[in-house]
Parts: sequence; C-alpha cells; structure tokens
Amino acid sequence: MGSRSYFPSYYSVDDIFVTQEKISCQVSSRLLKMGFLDPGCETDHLEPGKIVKLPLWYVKELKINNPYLIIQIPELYKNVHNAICEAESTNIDLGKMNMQYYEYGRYLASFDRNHSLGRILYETCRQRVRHLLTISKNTVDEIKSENKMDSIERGLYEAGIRTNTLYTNWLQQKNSKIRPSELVQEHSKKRKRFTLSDDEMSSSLQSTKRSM
Amino acid sequence: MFGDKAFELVKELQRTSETLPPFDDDGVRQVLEEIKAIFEENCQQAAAYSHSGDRTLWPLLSFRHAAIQRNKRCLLAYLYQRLQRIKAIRWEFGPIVPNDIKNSFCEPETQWFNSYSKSLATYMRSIGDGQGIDLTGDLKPPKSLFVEVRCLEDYGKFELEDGEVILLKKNSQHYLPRSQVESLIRLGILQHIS
Repeated sequence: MGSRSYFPSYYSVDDIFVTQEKISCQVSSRLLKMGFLDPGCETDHLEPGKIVKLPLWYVKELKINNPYLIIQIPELYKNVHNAICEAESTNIDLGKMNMQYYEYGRYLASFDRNHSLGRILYETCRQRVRHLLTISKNTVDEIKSENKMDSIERGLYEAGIRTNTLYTNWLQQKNSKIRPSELVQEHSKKRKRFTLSDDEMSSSLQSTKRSM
Repeated sequence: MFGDKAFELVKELQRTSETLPPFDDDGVRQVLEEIKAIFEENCQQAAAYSHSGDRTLWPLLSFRHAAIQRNKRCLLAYLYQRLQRIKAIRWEFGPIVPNDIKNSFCEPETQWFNSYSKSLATYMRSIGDGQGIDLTGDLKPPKSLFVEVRCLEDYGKFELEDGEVILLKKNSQHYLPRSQVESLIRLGILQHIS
C-alpha cells in the first residue's frame, strides 16, 4: 500500500514499523523518575551504567553527543559486515535478522561513532541488488516465498516479477481480457469464507441438537 | 510502554491487507486517553520547572513529548491508511458498496465516502465535451465493441442502453456491448470469455 519513497512520509506504515524497534542504550547520567523504562529496575530513577531498551521513535530524537544516553549499535550489523568479508552476501538471510534491515540501519547510521555502518549498508545493497535482478527475471509464474530478503528487497523483487509478467503478456497479446478487480476478488473470497463458516456453525448446531 | 497501543492499531490494519476491517473505536479512544494523560503530566512538570528552574527532569519531559508525537503519528497514519483504502474501494466497486464493507466505515468515513463519490461523479460528468467520461471504465484499450460473457451468479434483469432487457442467469452466455458490461465484469458478476 502506498508508494515507497526514499524519505518516508509522515503516514508511512513501513516507517512506523521501523521506528517501533527497540535499541539498547547505556545510561550515562542519573535519569530521575525514568525507572519505568527498565522492567527489572526497582528504583524510581535510572542510574548511570544501566542498559535499557528504548524504542527508536524516542532514540531518533536524541543527538549523538547527548549527555543522558549512549546508543549501542546492534550486533547484527557487525555480523553482516563479517559475513560480507567472508562469503557471498547473497546468502545472508537478511529477512531473518531484521525485516527492515536497510531502513533500520539508516536511522542507526547517525549514531555510529566508527562511521562504518553507512558503508556496510551500501556494500550489502550493492552486492545483493544484482542478484535480485537475476532471480526476478527468471521467476516466471508464482512469487516464491523466499525469506532471505528484507522488506525493501522483497518490494523490489515483487515489482521485478510483476513488470516482467506484464511485459511477456504484452508481447503475447494476452492482455485484452477484462478481468475482475483484485479488491472485488478478495472481498468475494472473504464473503465465501464467512458463509462457509456460518454453514458449518449451523450444521454443527443441528448435529448437537440431534445428539441431545 | 507508551505508544504500544497506537502501534497495535496500525499493525492490525496492516495485517488485514486490502479490504477494510471495522473501525477500532475503542482502540482510538484508548490512545487519545493516553495522549491526554501524558500531556497533563508534562504540563504539570513544565509549570514546576518554570518556578524552580530545576533541569533534572528534562530527559523525562522530552521522552514523554516524543511519546505524544508518536501516538499522534500512529493515529493519523491509521486514519490516513483507511481513507486510502476507502478511496480504492470507490474506484473498484463503484458508487454502490457491498453492505458488509459499508458496515466497517465509521460515521465520518461514510460522510467522506459520499462526498468523495459525489465529487468524482461531478468531475466525470464535467469532462469529455459535455458528454461525460466514465474514468473507471476502459482500463484496457478495447479491441472489439462486443464481448462474449458468461454469467457467474443469478443477477436478474439487466437493461441495455437501447432498451432491451436481458435476463442474467447463472451459467448463461451472452454477446453484449463491451462498454455496458465492463463494470459487471469488474464486479465479478460476469466473466469475460473469448
């Protein structure tokens, strides 16, 4: 739903999902009355040195040199970096690590004191996109549920397959039939499911009545 | 945690892709209450700060403020995504929407749908040299004036523009003017066969 823009819009659902992620932060000065952020904390306040998990929608408002919290870059990105150096990046299962690998990384890049995260993101993307192009060109019929992708890559992959099918259909002049709209199809499927379950309900009711 | 309820709203909407789930009155109300509660606490502390000049509570204040904005964003995104879907429904189903979808609208959404539908109809009447153009029709370039169709359900009587009335019975086949039956095909009542 909606288009994917490089800068997510205010209403972007994808971006809302990314900013829900939790990030480990180390407390660097005494934070009064913020103990509720740490479920294991017994005092009202957060003491320096404690690690708390905070949602990205708060963390992204902070500055990198703020006096209260130090943001810790997740291990995930370091692991990917190693994997890129050692093996084919196309084999990394990004979807399993984080469905929003790139978007998430983009937010964290501004908190990375080593300035390496940006490069890692760029390298992973560069190495994987060409592979995406190849597989989307070679998938003909159904979209396979390949789970090695993050959500942006999946979007690219599906768009690739769709364009390819449209193109072949046009070449073979298959497209002149009027088809029912997709929304209508989904709706009628749903309606069928409902009526079916209603039937099952009534039949099971009858059978229970009979047994009584 | 603050903001979790608001996120649930958006997540739930995303889970039911395409068609419209019923409007979550209760969820929206809970989020609004949470916003109000946070706002009042923040107001109190901000007032206390202006008396004492004590900055120790600033991190808490900014965290709560971010939470208010987060809640607001989720709520607006929820409403906006629903509007987008309702808009799509108008284009796909036409001005008459099946009842079970209509029941998922909340009151302002019904009003919005009606006025959107009206604006769209007025616009379509106004273009095309006074004749009007149905923008929801002819989505693919027509290759022939007539099409062969099979009826998928008992629809009943259907009057063509020239006044002829035909009976659309399940599994009957007809040869009809393309422009007049396209919307029925889109609604899944007729099937286009070649």
